[in-house]
Amino acid sequence: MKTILIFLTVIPLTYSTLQSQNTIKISGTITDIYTGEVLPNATIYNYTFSNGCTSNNHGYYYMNINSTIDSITFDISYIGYLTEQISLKTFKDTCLNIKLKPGLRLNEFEITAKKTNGISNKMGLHNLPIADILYTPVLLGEANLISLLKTLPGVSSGKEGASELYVRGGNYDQNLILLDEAPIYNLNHAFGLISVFNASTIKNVNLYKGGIPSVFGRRLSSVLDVTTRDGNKKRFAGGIDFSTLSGALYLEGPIVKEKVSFLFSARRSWIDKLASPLINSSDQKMKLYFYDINGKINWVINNKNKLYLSYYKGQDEFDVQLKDPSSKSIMEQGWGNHLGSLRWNTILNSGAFIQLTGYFTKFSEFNNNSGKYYNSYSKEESYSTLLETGIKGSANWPLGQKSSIKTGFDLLHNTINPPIKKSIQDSVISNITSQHDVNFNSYGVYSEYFYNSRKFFLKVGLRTDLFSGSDKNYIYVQPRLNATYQLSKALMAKCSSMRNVQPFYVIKKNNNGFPAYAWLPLVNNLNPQESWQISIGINWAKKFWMLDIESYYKTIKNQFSNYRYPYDIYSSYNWVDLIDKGKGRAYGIEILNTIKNKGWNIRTSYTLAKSEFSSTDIAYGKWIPSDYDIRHDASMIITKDIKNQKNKRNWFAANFTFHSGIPFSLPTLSYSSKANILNNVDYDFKSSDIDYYSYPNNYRLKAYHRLDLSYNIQLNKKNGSRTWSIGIINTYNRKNQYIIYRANNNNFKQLTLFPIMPFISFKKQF
Amino acid sequence: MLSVLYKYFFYITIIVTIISCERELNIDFPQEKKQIVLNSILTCDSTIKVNLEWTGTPLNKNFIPITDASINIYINDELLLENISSDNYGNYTSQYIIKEGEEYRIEALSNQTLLKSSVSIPNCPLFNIKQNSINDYEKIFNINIDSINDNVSALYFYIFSEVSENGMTHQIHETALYCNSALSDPFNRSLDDWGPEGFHYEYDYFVRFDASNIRNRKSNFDLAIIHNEGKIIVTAITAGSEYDMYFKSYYTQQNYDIEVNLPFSYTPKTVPGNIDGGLGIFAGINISTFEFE
Repeated sequence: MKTILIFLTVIPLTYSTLQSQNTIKISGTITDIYTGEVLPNATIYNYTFSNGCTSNNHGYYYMNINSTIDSITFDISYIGYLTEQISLKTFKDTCLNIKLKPGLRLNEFEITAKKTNGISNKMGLHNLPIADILYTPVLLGEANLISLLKTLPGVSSGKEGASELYVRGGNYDQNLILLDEAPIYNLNHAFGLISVFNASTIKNVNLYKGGIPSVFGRRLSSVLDVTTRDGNKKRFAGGIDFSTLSGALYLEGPIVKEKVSFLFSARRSWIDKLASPLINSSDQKMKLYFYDINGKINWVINNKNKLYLSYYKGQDEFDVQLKDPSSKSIMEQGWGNHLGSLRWNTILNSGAFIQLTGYFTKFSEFNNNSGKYYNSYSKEESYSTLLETGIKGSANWPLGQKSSIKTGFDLLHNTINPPIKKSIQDSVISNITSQHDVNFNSYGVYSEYFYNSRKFFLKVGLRTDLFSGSDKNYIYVQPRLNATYQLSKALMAKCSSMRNVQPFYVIKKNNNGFPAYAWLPLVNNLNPQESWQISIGINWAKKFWMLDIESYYKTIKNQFSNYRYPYDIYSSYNWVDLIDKGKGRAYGIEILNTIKNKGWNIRTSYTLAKSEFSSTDIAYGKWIPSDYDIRHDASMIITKDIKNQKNKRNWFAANFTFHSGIPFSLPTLSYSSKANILNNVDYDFKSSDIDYYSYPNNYRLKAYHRLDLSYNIQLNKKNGSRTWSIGIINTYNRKNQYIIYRANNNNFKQLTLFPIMPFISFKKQF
Repeated sequence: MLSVLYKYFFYITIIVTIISCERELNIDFPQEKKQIVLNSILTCDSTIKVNLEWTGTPLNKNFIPITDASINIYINDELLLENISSDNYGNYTSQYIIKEGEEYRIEALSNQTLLKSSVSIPNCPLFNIKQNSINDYEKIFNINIDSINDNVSALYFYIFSEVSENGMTHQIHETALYCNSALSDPFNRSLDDWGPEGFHYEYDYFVRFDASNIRNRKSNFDLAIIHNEGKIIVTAITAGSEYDMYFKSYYTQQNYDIEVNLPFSYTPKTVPGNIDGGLGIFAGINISTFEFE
C-alpha cells in the first residue's frame, strides 16, 4: 500500500519539475469539418522530431515540442479522411483545433492504430472501422458489432447466433462492456441473435484483450469501449435502417449551432407486429419483441470545456396473455439494460486533460407467471437485478516531450439482487428462495506513466481496488505493463502483462428455453475472480500489408460454473454449495493479416488457442476444456469495390469463418435408473436409463465453417444516400452442428440452426 | 398434457424449426472404461434391495448384472448384514425392515473394486389429507403437513386412480395435477386455465416441494385432478437429499424434448450419484399412501 501511495504522489510532483524545461505545448481537438464530430484515435505525426500522438476518445490531443525550433510540420490522419499537413511557426503554447475533411470512403481494414509513420501499435488493442460494422454480411442483415468482433483473433466465434464474447479463454462475464463510459451487463437481443448496440449510432470501438490500461478495472479478460456519435453540430440529419429483423431510425442535429447537438435513435423488431393478425385474438395475445433507444446531448461550453449526456434503454420481452370471462393468465419474461452517463471534460492551461463521469446502469431479467380466476389470484415471480452507480475521474498530465502520466479514481456502488423466486397466492406473499440484496462498494485508484519516443513506447501502471462488502473487504494491487519497440521501419516488437480482479460472477439460467443469465455477488465463501496475463508479439507493416502476431498465457483463479447442476439451481437454498468452484488457464497465438490495395480489402485472422477449467468437484480436478475452447479459429473478410464514384458505389463483401469443433458434453456410459420407485407411475420419457457423462465438454462438435456473401449498392444524392444490401448467409448450406441430443427414438440427432438464408437490408441517410 | 401457453412456445419453435433442421447421427462416443453401478433406494418399512450391474454404452444398453459381489451393510456403524446373496439379475435382498432415522452404510466388493456409500432414512412428516370434491369430476385434496425433519430434502406428491377392467383392477397414474400452493417447485409446471376453480398451474406427473420452503411455515395447500370415478390414491414420497437430487436431475435429463423445448439454452444434464468407487445411488425415502373412495 505504501508503494502505491509513493507511486501516486511522487510522479505528479515530478510533473512540475519537468514542465519547467524549454518546451511549448500544442493541444486541441480534431473534428470532422462538416459535422463537428470529434475524431478519436486520429494520428498526429511530427516530422521534425519524428514523434507523435493519437487523439483520445474525445478527439483531444496534446504534444510537447522543443521551443528552440523555428517551425514544425504535422501530418494529421484518420481513417476515411484526407490527411492534412500543417506547418506551424510558433514560440508559445498553442491551442490548435484541427478539422479534417472526409475523403473517398476507403473501407479500411486498419484494425490497429498502426501507421507507417512510426506511431507505435498498441499491444492487444483493436480499433474497429465503423464501415465494417455497418456493411459486413451478418445474420438477418442486422448490422452487428459483436458478430464482427468475433472475426478478430483471440475473440472466440463461440456458439452460432449467440452474442456473448469469449476473449482469450475468458468467460463471457469477464468483459467490461462500456457504452459512453457506462457498463452494460447483458449484450443480447433476440435470444442472443443480435447485440444491444445500434450500429448507426456508433462512432468508435476499442477492444482491449491484453495490456489493458489501468483506467479499466473489475473485469478479467477484456474491455470493449464503445463510444456513440455526438450528433451533427452544423445541420439536421438522420437516417432509417431496415433489416429482415427490425427497423431503426436516427436523428441528429444542432440545438444551438456549433455549441449543442443531439443524437437520438430508436430500433424495434417487427416480427410480432407482422404476425399479430395470425396469432392474436380477443382472448389471446402474444408479444415477442426487442427495442432500444439511444440519446445523447453534447454541449461545447467553450474551447476547453465540454459536457456530454448519454442515455440508453433496451428491452427484450416475450409476453403471453390468455383470458376468458372468468379467468386470465399472463406469462411475461424478458431482460433489459438501462443506463445513462454524464461526462464533463476540461483542458487546463497546462494542457492537462481532465474528465469526470457520473453514471448509472441497471440490468434486470424476469420470468413471471400469474393467473386470476374470479377472486382467486396467483403469481410467481422470478427475477434478478444488478444496479451500479458510479463516479470516476481521470487526469492526463503531460510531463515533457515524450512522456505523460494519467491518474484517476473510481467510486462505485453495486446492488445485486440475486435470483429470487417469489410466490403470491391471493394476498399471501412467500419468498421461495431466501436470498437478499447484496450491497457493496468498490474504490479504485490508479496511476499510469506513458513514454513515447520514436522507437519506444512504454505504458506502466498500477491500479488498486478495494471491494467492500457486508461480510468482508478485499484489496488488490494490479500492475499493468504495455510496451512496444520499433525494431526497424516496418517491424515492431511488443509485450504486455497485467493482473485483473473481478468482484462478481455470472451464471446461466434457463427461462423456458430462452438463454438468460444472472449476476451473483460475493457471498458466503465466494472470493473475487483473479487473473494474470502476459503476452508478447510482433507487428510488421509495409505499404499495403500488415501482419500482427501475438501470443498470450493467462491464469484465472476463483472461476466457477454450473456443470454439475445445470438446471435451475436457484430454487435450492444452498445454491452456493452447488456451483463448481475452480480455476482456469488459457494460452494461444493470434495472427492478423490485412491487405489493402486497388479496391481490395482483405483481412485474415487465425487463432490457435487452448482454454481449460479445473474444479476439484469435477473429474477429480482434471483440466477439462472450457465451453469455448476452440483450437483453430480462422476468418477471412474480403471487400472489393466494383464501382466507386462520387454518386454511386457498388461493392461486394464476403465473410468466411472456419473453426474447429466447440466442446460439447456427450454421454460415455449408460446405466439403469432406480429413480422411478413407484411401479405404477407412467412417465412419458424416452428412457428409463441414465446417461452418464465422464466430464463436461468431453466431445467436440464437427468443425464449423460458413460463407456469407453480400452485394451493396450505395447511391449518393444531394439529400443523402441510400444503401441496399442483399446477401446470403451460409451460402453453401453447411449443416453446422448446433446441439446433439437424444431423440425420442433413443438415437442421437444433431440440430442445425441456420441453413442457407438470404437477407436484405436498406439504409437511408438524409 | 401441454398447457395452452405452450402453444406460444410452439410458435417460436415452429419458426426455429422452419429455419433449422435436424438429422440423425452416427457418433463416435468418447470412450470410457465400464464401471460398476450400485443402485439401492432404501424405502422405510420395506426390505433392503441392492442391485449391482455393469454400465453399458449410450447406444448398447445391455447392462450385465453382477452376481458375485460381496456386500456388507452397516446400520449406525454396526455390521447388520454380511455377504448378502444375489439372484440372477444382480439383485441382493435381505428381509431386514428399514426404519426411519437410521443411518445405513454399504460396502460392496466386486472385481477388486470396493464401492462405498452411506445414507440416513428421512423421517416422515405428519400428513393430514382430506378430500374436498367440488363436483363429480373435479377432485380436490387438502393437505396439511407438520414436523418436517432436517433430514428431509423434498416431498413429492403423486395421485393415482384405480380402475376396473374385465374384472381386473389396476392403477392409473394421473399425469396432470393441479396445485394451488405458492411454495411448490415450479420446474415441472405451466400456467393453465383449464383446471378447477382457483388452480392456475398444471404439474406434469407430480408436485415437488423443497423441504426448506415449507419446513418452518404453515403448510396447507390443495392438490386437484380431473377425475371421473373410482378409488383415488394420494402418494407422498419423503426424500432425503441424495434421492431428491438424483431424481430431479434424472427427470430433467430425460424430459428434454426438442419438439417442445427451445434449443438456445440446451445443456446436457448430469445425474449426481453418491457411490464412492462407482456409479449409482444409495438413497433413503419414506412413502406414505392415502386412499379415497
